[in-house]
Amino acid sequence: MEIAPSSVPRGAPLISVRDLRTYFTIGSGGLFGVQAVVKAVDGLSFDIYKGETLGLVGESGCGKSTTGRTILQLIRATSGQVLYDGRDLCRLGDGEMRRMRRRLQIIFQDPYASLSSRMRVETIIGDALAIHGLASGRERRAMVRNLLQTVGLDPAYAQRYPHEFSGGQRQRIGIARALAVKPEFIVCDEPISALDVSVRAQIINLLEQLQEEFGLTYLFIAHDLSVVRHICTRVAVMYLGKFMELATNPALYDDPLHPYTRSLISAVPVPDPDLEDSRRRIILMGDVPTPVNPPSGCVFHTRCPIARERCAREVPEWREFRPSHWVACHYAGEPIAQA
Amino acid sequence: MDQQVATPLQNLGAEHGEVVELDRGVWRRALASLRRDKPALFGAVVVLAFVLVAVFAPALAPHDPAYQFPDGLTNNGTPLPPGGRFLLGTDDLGRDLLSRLIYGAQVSLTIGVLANLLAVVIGVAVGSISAYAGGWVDMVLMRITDIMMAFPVLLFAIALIAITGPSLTNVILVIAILYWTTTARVIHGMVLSLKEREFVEAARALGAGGPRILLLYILPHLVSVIIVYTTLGVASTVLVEASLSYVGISVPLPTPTWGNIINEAQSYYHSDPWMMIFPGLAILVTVLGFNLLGDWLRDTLDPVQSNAR
Repeated sequence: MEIAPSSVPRGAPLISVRDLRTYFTIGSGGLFGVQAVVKAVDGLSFDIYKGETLGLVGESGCGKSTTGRTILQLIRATSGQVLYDGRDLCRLGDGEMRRMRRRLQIIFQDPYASLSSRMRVETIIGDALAIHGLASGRERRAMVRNLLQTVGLDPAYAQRYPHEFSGGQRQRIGIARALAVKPEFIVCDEPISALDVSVRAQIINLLEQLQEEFGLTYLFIAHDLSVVRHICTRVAVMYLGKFMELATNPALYDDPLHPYTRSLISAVPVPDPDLEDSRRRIILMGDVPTPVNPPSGCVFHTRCPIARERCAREVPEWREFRPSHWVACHYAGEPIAQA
Repeated sequence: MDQQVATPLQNLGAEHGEVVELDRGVWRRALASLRRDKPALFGAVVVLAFVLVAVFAPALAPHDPAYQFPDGLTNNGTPLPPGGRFLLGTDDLGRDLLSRLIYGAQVSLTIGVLANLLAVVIGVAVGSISAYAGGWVDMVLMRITDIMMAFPVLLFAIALIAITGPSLTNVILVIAILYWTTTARVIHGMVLSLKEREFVEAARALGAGGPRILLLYILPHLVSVIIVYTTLGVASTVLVEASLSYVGISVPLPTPTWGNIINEAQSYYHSDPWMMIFPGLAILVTVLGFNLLGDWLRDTLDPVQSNAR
């Protein structure tokens, strides 16, 4: 399988996230007004560099979608900073943030829910241009047709409604919509998870082509590690609202330091049957704890194969263990004993 | 379906030049279902007839509704029963009842439709804005809605018209002011759920502001409900207007309305019950017709709506 070229990041980052937290309060509070808090994003600090594809992987419910949406301020952060173009997006007012959206876009996971069934394709894509006053009338229609062609759809489809398309086609419409304003950065929120397996490769290839053609930067949220390996230049691994590891593509797969990463990678099937039989799988015990009441110390310690007493007490520091390779683990890199 | 096969990057579906005319099929199927549903068909016919009668009143009425025929009363001075020149008889002043009923349809239709339209506009505006804005705006507007709903409508209408004076405009305004609440409640609930949908989040991600999202993204999903409630609403407003004119505070005499004809007919109930029966029947059939049509519209449009398309 082709592996994306590694890019050790250089220069100033496009987006800097500092101690980002998004907490949700749930429940009515009962007698004493105490409400449960879901710590969906619990202190993330990382950079995204121009032109790269940063993968964000983790199990369902680990907070990766929330992270993407919080960066774009679709969900307001509880605390922390998202620095972009010298400004903190978390501090921007609604009007200013709306203007910023020209440069920061998102592709949604569900191609059925993210398009309004009562709007024609032309309006779905064209409204982006209308909102930011980029084009009107004939020029706008021409741009929409152009965008449809760019994503591989017949421009004549502009007059149709979403229900007349397949999932893969709708996702292309969603991509065209995100591209309409010529953004710099796109959050791809599990863009292929809802699609048929046969269609996924096409969409991934499309995203790669578009990145090259338009110089886009992606935050690629996914749970499929093999897809991430193909398209991403760097990968971050998330668990219960925190980062466990962040490294360049080859480094993460060839030399994972965090036990969670290693168990995830060991779960990815290898196409070679002999190799598949002979390799060792790291199987985690137990279930993912609830984000309402995360474990003390290292959030992963309840399922970690190398957890020790210190892990339950002390939250491991998020540090750059090796150049461009960040981990949050007290025993990063230590071998995992055979089960 | 052919059109939905995924094809490689370049030029999807070039060979499928035709655009699927899905919409036409929906109409044809709807009409077929209408023909099958006898009560709904009756409703549709009634509504159509009502509109035609009201619009073409001058052409349809056999006589001038205001003309008091010298031979329009019996020897005792009571209204004539149906028969002869006066198909439905006359009223207490010798005027042709049929012509008056036909012109009365005009008044009922005008007030019923306009008042209802205004009520729906107000209701949709209040319901959708409060639901989308949330917070204290929502709280305030919904409290106002609750308060309005608590009022005894007829009494309040009587009071308002007594203050402002009976006229066509005032009656329309007063009915609208009192009847927007049902629509507001329904729309409020719908917008509350619609605003959580992902395509609304997508619109926000594009940079769309509140008003734009309400009008362009949310409103189109409310159209079916609005159509249903408008149709059903006309039934209510026609009835209300009849009640108001029965107590004499709708459009002033001598303009005939079904309600005030009934009012005038009260004294002659024993000698000529027809004067009361016909307008009563007119009201009954009209209201029933709109209700039946509205029900059918709701049944037809709902599956389309809840199709999660």
